[in-house]
Amino acid sequence: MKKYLMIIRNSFMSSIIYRFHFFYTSLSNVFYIIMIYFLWRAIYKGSGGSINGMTFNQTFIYLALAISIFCLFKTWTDWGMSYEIINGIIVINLIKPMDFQLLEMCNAIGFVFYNFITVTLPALFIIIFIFQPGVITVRSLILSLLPIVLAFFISFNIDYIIGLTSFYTESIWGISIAKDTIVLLLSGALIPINFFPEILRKIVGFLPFQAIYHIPLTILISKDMSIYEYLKFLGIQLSWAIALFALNRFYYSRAIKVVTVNGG
Amino acid sequence: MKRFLYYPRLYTLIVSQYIKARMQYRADFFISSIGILLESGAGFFSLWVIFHSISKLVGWSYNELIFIYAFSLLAITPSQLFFDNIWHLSSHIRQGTFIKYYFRPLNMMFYYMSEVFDIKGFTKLALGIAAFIYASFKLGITWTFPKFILLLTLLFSSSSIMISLMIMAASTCFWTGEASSVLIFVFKFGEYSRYPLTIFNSFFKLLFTYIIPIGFVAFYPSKFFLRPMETNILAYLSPVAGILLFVLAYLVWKKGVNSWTGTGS
Amino acid sequence: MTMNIVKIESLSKHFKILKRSEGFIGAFKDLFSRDYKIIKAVDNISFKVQEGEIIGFLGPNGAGKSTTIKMMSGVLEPTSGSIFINGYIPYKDRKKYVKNIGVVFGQRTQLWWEIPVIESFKILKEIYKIEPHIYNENMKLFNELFDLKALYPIPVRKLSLGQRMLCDIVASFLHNPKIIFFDEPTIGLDVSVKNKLQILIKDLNKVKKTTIILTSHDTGSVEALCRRLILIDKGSIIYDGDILKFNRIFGAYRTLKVELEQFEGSSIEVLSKTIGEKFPCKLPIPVRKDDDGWISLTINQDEVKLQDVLNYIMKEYPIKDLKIEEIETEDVVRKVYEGELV
Repeated sequence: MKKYLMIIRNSFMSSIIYRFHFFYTSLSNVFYIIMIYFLWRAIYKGSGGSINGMTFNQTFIYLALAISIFCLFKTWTDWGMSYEIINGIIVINLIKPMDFQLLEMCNAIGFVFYNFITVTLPALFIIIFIFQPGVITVRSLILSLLPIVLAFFISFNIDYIIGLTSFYTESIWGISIAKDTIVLLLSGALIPINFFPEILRKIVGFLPFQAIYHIPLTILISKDMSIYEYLKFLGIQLSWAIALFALNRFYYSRAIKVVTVNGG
Repeated sequence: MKRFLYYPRLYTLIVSQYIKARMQYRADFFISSIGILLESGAGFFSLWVIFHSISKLVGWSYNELIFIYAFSLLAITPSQLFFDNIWHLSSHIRQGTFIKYYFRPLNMMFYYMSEVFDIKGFTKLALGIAAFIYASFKLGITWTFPKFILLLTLLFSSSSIMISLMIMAASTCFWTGEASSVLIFVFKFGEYSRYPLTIFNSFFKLLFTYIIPIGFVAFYPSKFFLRPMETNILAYLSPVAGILLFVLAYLVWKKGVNSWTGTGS
Repeated sequence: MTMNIVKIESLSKHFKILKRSEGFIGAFKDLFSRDYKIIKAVDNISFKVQEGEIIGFLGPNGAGKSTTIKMMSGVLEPTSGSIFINGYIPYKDRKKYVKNIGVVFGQRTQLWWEIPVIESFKILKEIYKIEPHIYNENMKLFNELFDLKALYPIPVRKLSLGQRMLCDIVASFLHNPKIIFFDEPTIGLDVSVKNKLQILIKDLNKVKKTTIILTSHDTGSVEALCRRLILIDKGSIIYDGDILKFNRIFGAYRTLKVELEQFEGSSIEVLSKTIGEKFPCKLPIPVRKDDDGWISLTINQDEVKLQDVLNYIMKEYPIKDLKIEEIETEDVVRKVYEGELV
């Protein structure tokens, strides 16, 4: 157990060395939130307050938090694995006496702590105090903690799948960008799912992506969610979490056989 | 005359060889192109979804927004095609491999940028052109020869602005050792350039016109074609902004190159 | 009367390095710290090089050799002092200066990674505006020295390290530069390739009279190629002179190499101790086990008779084979660091 904690600590510390990284990522995030604010304010102009069942405040908070969660979960797991494959240093991690997936997840967790302090907190501060949308209650905040943890787990597993693909293809440039785009789009993080046409809404319901963003966000911005609905959401997340985890165990056992170590 | 042709000839030689070599990686090109199509396509998709629920965005119609978005894609593509190596600057700096660029009798920025030519940018270009043609058709814009020349000039200045901003962003790594976050930061601004500046309040309108001039990347130039009556003097300044910004970017790069100490034996 | 192509006087280079703290709290503090310390990478060095010389720079990591080379190649601006190479001040007229120099890095190639070798050469021809007849002459010369033609169509990324180095070396001679800097050209290469490289560099130097500055950890290469040796440590030159004279100072030294019948690794300490007791010297006789399993002892014949040591070993241990050699530059260098140079 202790060695896994060490991984988390090291991952966190190596992120801190680049002092400008968090500054610009934070700033980037803030600008994006400003961007969303103005864009959606313009969208809601002359609309009579509510579109597709969401008010401007709700939509804004939803999207602003969505991007904050995206930054929080951006752990570069897939890129890291691809980099290690290309440079042949993946061996170092493969021969360690630890479960590889757990190792990668601990790296990711370290990153998440870093992201939380450097990007999410400032963003939350700005959202809550400057925009003051007043939509989040203490109750919904507490309720959303477990969904957010589950969301991370699902997000990590998706990244991990892409990372494992690099065992086959080495470079994952296009695939990773495609993944990011698809996840953001189909999870409701770019545009709330309520805005999607009927058919799309149905399709998206069958995909794991909305379990990462839409579910925790809905819980966060809802006024009074019934226990039944809450449990239903948790159930969806849990099923995806388990399914993806199982998939990864299987995928790993296949991918590891294919690993060719680069470098003479 | 011969001296004038030195760099273009050299560039053609290097890049043609590079493309030849890269063409061997068909699968990679294919997959990456899909990634790019998805990424840019997501923008169009978002517009489409949004306009399912509204009819005008601060007075701009769906097709007008497609026009502006296509314009911004066309403006961003040259930076991807010719200056893609900028993304690797921080790793070259950190690993010390950047030092090799000092040793040839070539302009260093030219030498550095000529090493990578991103053929995947052609995919973005194709998408941008297709969307542009679609929008102009839907909007009933007639293209005369002078209009076309104007379009090319404005695209040139827009791409110059993007390229300059990216170079300045990446050059920070000569001092700080890392650039990817800054680059992404600036690149995102390029993506914001696809929205009409009128959605912002006066503070940001000023910011995006004079300080980080992304307004000149797509919005102001597009106004020339979409609302010729409303075009103000600012739009005519686009080419000037483009050239000045590039000069500034080059100076920043030079300063960075000179001050980089290349520590580490 | 050969000209001095390199004139360096009182050259110094200082760096400001950010002080890094340790641990968790330290890492946070560093985010806001402005604490610098000054490092004197190169401290007041002077030397001259004649045209056509091959000189070797030796020194441990961080000694200042790469910094010196960087200043000589025009990349770094000195903090103080003067540097003239081929009539230029390197960092001042970079583009003009660079037209007449070559640089070869052991670890990284100067060629274009993804494209065939011959195409890299063609690009270099364009960059340096090399006259066709000079280009052809040189390519012919390179092919005489080794089978470069066989590598023409291969992308540089597919070459082995040895092949890549050969290509990098001839590429550096292509535009007939006056002076070439070789930075660790033999790193990671096996003995046969190293030999090939050394012969190549020597031949090209003979034909073209190119001045060559070589930095290396590999004392073998330095010995093979250079007649003059500059030893740098902690930013200062601690020896500048003929490599043979350097060895002659330590001429009294011999390396005795023995191959013993049976010998366990741990017994080295025992042997070392007993030798030290039996044959006391100013500095204890170094006893090592080499990679090939032989034991080597470095003996200063001014202090101890090699015959006596040998007799003692033969008495105590069954010897299979033995060799007596001149001291290696490596050992000499080590001795200089240990303070044995007057």
